Amino acid sequence: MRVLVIEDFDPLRRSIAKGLQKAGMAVDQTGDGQEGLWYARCNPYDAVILDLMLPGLDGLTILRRLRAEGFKHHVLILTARDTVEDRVRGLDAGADDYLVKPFAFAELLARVRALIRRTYQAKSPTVQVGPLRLDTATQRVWIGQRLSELSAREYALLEYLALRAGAVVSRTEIWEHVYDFHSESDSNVVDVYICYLRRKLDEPGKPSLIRTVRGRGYRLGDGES
Amino acid sequence: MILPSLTSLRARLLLGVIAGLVVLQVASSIAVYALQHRALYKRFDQALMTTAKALSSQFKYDKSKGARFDMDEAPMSEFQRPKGHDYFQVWRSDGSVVARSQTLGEANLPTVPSAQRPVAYDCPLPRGEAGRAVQMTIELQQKGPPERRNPPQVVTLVVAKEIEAVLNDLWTLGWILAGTSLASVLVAGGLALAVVTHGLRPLGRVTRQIADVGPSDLGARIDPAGLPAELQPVAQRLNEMLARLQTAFDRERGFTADAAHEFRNPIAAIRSTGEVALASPQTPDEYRQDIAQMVALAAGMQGMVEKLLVLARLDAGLVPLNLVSVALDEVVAPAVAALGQSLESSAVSLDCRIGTGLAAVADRDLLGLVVKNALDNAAEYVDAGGRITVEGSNSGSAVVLTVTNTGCRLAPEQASCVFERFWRADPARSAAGAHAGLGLSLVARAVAVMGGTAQAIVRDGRFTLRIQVPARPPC
Repeated sequence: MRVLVIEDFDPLRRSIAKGLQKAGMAVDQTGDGQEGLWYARCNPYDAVILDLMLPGLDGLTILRRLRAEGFKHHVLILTARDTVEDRVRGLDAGADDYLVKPFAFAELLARVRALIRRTYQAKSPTVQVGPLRLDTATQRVWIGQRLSELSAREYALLEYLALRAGAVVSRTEIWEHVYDFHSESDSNVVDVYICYLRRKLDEPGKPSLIRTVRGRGYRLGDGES
Repeated sequence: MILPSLTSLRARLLLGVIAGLVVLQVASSIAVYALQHRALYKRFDQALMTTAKALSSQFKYDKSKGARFDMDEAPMSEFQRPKGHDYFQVWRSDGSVVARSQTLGEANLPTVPSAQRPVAYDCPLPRGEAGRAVQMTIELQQKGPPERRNPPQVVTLVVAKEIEAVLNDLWTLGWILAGTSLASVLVAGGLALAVVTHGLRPLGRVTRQIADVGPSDLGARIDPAGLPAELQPVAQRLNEMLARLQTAFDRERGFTADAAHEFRNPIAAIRSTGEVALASPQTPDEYRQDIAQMVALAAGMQGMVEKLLVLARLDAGLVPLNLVSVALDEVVAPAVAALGQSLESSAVSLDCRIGTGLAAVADRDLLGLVVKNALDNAAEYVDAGGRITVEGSNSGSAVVLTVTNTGCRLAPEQASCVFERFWRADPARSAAGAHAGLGLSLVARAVAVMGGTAQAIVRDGRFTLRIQVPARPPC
């Protein structure tokens, strides 16, 4: 899942980005308001963490512009402003969530995961596709009763496919949601990771869980849904 | 000792009004009484005089006997009654009595030393009554040619009459005046009480309005509409005071909010860095980086806390000042050297031009703090490849230290804002928490405490901080 962090206080932004990456998310980050708005316009982020006091362009203006332009990003405002009026103003400007600094990182992470679930109309933290079961909170994957050991990137790819189970997902979409700007620029990397996943998940002699749809992309699970 | 105890404005006003009324009433009563007294006595004296003139026509000059009075030719009955209160008596110039009224019996009327003109005077009368008398001298007319006349014959006539009726009238008048005065003072006093009470009512209203102003609603103002002209300036001054109080309270409140806000970011970063580091295993290098980050954040917060503490102590007057003669270069040189070291890796050039012999009267530690913060500010906002210039000069009674940095992006009119606590040109923090907009507030406050001034000048992209410290001790 790909998250944008717009926060101008460097140490905080870096630690948030690092924490989100540890949780298997692709993270783009910036400390400048204008740049943040540009990032948000360019990519369909699954969640945006937005500070309010920013150089260049303040957070509320970014949010209002995004909403006016019809962007549907799920936005969490992360700010030191804690009055009720501030929260109301933030939520009324189009934010989906509001968290006051200082905060527990686990809570921020849980809120970001909740926003991501909303992006994919999921309510439960566990996703079941055929024999495959993902726990998005703990990032663990079972095939039947067997726990599968996946790397962070492999898990991120599988989670995206699982959340969009049944649909054909293009390489570009995978690229947009699982990788950040700093990832390797070779799009073959998607195919490589699909290959890794198949090797770890598929039972020998059975058809692969991840099907290749020629010329369009990949699909996890049955196509009916 | 009565007046100081009269703290009530109403009592004072009433006392003033009543005292004025009493004085006025007493004075007018005395005037009325005196006028009436004079008029009654004048009339009485005129009557006596008329009687005396009538009597004087009864004197005859007899060549053989001298002066003679013919009572029978002047039947004035009031002098004949044995128990009457009208008297007269006539003396010759040698003191012998010519005649006396029958009312006198053998008694004599009191006389005054002889005078040419008739005189009137009060005197006791033989029967103990209060009386009034007129005394006049009469030269008796002699008949015949002048050469045959005797030397002039002069007699003294005193006519007296009991004056009890006049005195009674005056007595009655006195009582009437006293009574009406008292009554009018009472009535006017009551009216004055009502008027003063009514007149002071706006004061009570203002008092209630002031009492209603709590610390939480300093925005309340006293409504000057309907207040009397005397209270308008009071209300105005009170409103001005309330406005000043509100400004101070708002500043205090804003300051607290700003301080809390400034601490939230570094705390959030420390907590987040720690929690992320603990969330899953990292390489030793990553742990090292995280710890270094947290230490840097803590140091930044420590700097902020220390600045706030110094500011609070300066505000409260708790910083002990040891004003001595301090050589400016001795304070500036180490700070510039330290800054030079930290700027070594950057392309910023540092130019320090402070000659020896510049001495300020200041607290050495506080001046050191001022210089350090001034230099830190310059280093914070100087542009890459820019220049920081530190200069010292003497301007008569003061020593001037200027710290100038290039790369200033402030508008000239923003220059004075730099001394406000937590003020920054851009409200967003691009720096690492340590520069929370406190350094220059501290400079300004510390310099002011030492009797100097700090001034910020923005010109052509250069920011100059001009610090002026007294060169001589205050007289």
